[in-house]
Amino acid sequence: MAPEIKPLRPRIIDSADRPELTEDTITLAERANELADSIGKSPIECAYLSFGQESMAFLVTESGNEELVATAVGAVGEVPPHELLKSVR
Amino acid sequence: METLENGLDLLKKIRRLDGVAVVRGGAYAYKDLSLSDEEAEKFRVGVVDFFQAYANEGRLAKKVVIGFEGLTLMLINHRTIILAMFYEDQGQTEMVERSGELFLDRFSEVLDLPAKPKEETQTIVVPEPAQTGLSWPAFRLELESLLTKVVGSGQASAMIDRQLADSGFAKGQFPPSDEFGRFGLGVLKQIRDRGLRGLLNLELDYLLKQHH
Repeated sequence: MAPEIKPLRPRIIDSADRPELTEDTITLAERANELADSIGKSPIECAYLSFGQESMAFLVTESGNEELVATAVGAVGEVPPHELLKSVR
Repeated sequence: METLENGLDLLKKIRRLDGVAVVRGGAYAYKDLSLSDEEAEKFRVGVVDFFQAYANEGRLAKKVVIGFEGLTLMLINHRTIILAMFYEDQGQTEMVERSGELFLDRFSEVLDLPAKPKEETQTIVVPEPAQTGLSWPAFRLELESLLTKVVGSGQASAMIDRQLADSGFAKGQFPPSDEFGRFGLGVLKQIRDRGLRGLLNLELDYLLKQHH
């Protein structure tokens, strides 16, 4: 069965209000930014992560000191990165 | 047995990657990165921490792509190793992913990874006959460009001419567009290195799909 791509609930993510469904996105954004920091490349523009059974991607549309605005999608199953990243653009 | 270094050199060259590295057991098994030693060390720690953080939550992160300004990083967590690939064109993500997975399949033995079951192994993509939007001159140019990733331009042109002659085409004749895939495969068969040929087959398949 083809994996289903569905938008995660909120389109806007900020550091003060962390709905459960966006927790994964925020966590990925934080960890990806930490990794980017290690080579002086932060802030990141987009990211994709697959656990095999589920995958997700987001595109940062705005970032500042206090908030991150991103469009995110999640999928059941391992959707290839190019497909998920395309779906958030 | 092919060495890991040769394989990664090949991967970097074919995909025109900006950098490639293998982290194994938390340490670099190989690195060819456009980073200073200090940055490379911070990057290694960052990569290990990234996957460890998810592992600590009981989640196995398998594949990661992170886009920065003008650069993209793909990480593939494959059993005991992490393959890191930096590239500029995010539009190449699909090909970079496929090449990375092909590399991991090919070097399973060198990397001391359990081989995939045979029925799951698929390293050669055979382009299906299909009418392409490419003219012969355009296809020839694309094919030459593909070949120059591994041979000189003169040799690339000669390989195509040889295949034309072997296929029975007189001077000035060329195959119809629905035969471009088959013809391209014939040209690539002249490349002896199987792994190299497999990567170029992927590129040829991708090229034809783009113009289908």
